Amino acid sequence: MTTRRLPVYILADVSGSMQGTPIESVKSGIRQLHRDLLGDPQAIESAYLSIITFGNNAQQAVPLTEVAMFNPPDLTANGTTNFGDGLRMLIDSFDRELVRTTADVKGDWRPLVFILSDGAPTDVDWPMYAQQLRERRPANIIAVACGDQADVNVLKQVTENVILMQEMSPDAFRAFFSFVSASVKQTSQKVGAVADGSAITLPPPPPGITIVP
Amino acid sequence: MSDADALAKAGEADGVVSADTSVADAAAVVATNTAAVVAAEPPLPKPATWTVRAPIDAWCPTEVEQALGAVLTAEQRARLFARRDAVAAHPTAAVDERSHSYSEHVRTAEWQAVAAARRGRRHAHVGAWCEDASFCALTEQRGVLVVADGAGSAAWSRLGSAIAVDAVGLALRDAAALTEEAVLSAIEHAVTLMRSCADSMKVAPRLLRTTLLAVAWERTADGAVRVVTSQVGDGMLVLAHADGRITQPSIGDAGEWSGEVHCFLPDDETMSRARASTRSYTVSDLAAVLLVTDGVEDALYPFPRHAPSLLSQLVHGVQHPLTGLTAQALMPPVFSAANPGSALLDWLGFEKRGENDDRTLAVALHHSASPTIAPWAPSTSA
Repeated sequence: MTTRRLPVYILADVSGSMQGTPIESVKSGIRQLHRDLLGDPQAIESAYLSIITFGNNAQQAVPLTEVAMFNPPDLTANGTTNFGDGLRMLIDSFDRELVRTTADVKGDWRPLVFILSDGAPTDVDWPMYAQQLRERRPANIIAVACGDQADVNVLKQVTENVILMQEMSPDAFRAFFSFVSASVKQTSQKVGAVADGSAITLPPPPPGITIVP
Repeated sequence: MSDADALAKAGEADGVVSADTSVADAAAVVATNTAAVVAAEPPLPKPATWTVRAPIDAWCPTEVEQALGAVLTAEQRARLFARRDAVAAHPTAAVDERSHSYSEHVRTAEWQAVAAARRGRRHAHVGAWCEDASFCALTEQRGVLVVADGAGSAAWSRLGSAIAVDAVGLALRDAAALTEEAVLSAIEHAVTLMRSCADSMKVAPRLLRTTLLAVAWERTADGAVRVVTSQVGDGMLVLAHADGRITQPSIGDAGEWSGEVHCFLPDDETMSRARASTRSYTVSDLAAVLLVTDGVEDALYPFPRHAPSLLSQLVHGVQHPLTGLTAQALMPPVFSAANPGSALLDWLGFEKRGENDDRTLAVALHHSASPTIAPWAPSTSA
C-alpha cells in the first residue's frame, strides 16, 4: 500500500520576455508556495510538487517531489516560447510519474496543473499537445495569462480554466502564488470530493487576478 | 523579443522604467527589485503537525432542526437527534482525536453487530464535523448494516449521510420481505426524503450529497441466509464466509484517480446507479459482513485482501500492526470489549500517511464464526 499523492505541476514560461522582475517573482512565488504548504499537515502528507519550464526547450527543473523534500529551483529566463515542448513534457511527466487506480493499487488524486505564460507560442506543435490535454483531461489545469502580451486564446485551447493576471509586478505574482497555495490546500482538504463529477472548485482569485469567461 | 526589450518590459511592468530607459538602467532597477523580492522572504518554517479542534459550527442548528422536524418521522427524528447528542458530546474534558465520533452496538442470539464513524484528522484539524454515518440493526430474523460518506464539497453532507443511513436502515429493518425491490425501494425513499429535507431547509439537494452502502440478511426456511446488497458511490462491502473466503458483491464507483465518485444520493442518477449495483444472494456459510467508507478502504487497499486480517484483529485484538499502515496501536478485541462501539472507534485510529479522511466501519459477526477465525500475524498475511 503506497501513499496516494496530490500531484501539483507548475509549468512556467521562462522565455526571454520573463527576464528580470517576472522570473525573480516566479522563483520567489515558488518559494512562498513551498513555505505555505509546509504549514498544512495534509499538504505535507499528500502534495507533491514539480516544476517544468519552457523557453527554447522544455525541462523538468524539479521532478514530482514531496513538500518536505522540495528544493525551489533557480530559474533563468531566455530564448523563445516553445509552449508545445512544455506541454509535451507535461504529458510525458504524467505518463512517467503518476499512478492510476488499478485493482491492486489506489491511484493518485487527479493532478493540479498551473500554467504561467506571458506571451504567445513561437513553436508550431503546441496545438497538437493542447488537443491531447483537452481530450484526455488528465488533470485539473489552470492557465494563467500574465500581463497584456499573453495569448488568452492559446491558453483557452488547453483548458477552460484561464485566469488573467493583468500586472506582472512582484505583488501580483505573490498574490497568484497565494492563490496556488490556497488551491492546493483546498484540494488537499477536500480530496474526498474533488472529482465528484463536477468541475474543480477553486478558491476566489485575489484582487488583480480575474477569471477569463 | 531582445534582452533589452525584455528588460525594458520588466521595468514597465513595475511602472518604474520608461520605454527608452537604457539597458544598464533597467538592469539596475531589476536588480533592486530582485533584492527586494528576496529580502522580504521569511525563513522556512518547521513542517506543521496535526491539531485537534472542536467543530466550529453547530452540527444541526436550531432552524435546521425545525425544518427537518417537519419532514422526518418520529423515529427518524429521534435517531437524528440522538446522533447529534452523541457526536456533540465527548467524554473527556479536552477534545481528543476520537471526540465527536459516533458508534453503536447490537447483539442477538445469532449475531453481533458494531458500527462506528470516527472523525478524520483533516476534519479535526480544521474544526469540522465527521461527515460519515452508520446504521446497524439486528432483529431475531434480520440484520441490517448501512454506511454513508457525505461529500466533502456539500455543506450539509453530515446531515445527508445521517438521514440516508437511517432512512435506508429503518426501511430495510421493517421491509416485509428481503428482496432487491425492497432495497431499491428503501434507497428511493431515502432520495425522496433527502430532497424533502433540502426543500424544508431551503437549500439545494446537492448540499446533502452522500454515498451509501447497504446490506441486509435473514435466514431462510432451509437454513441458508438470503443477503441483499446495494451501493451508490465509493466504499466497500464484503462478505466473509465460514471457510475464510471473502466475496465482494458490488464494485464501488471508482475512477482512474482517487476520490472520483460520479453519483451521490440524492442525484438524479441515484436510482439507475442503485439498480445496477443491487444484488441478492443465498449464502450457506455467512460468517461476517463488513462495510467501510473510503476512509478505511483507501488506507487498506485493496480491501478484500485485507479484510481477513482486519476481521481477525476485531475478534482477537491487535497483536501486530496491519501491513502497510504507518502505525497501529496494540489493543484488545473489539467484539469482546465491554463497549464494542467505543473499542471500534479506537481501532479506527490507525495511522496511514496521507489517509486522514473520516473512517467508518460497520461489521456483523455470526457467533459461530469467532472460533474459526485465526489470530493474524504479518507472516501469514496475503
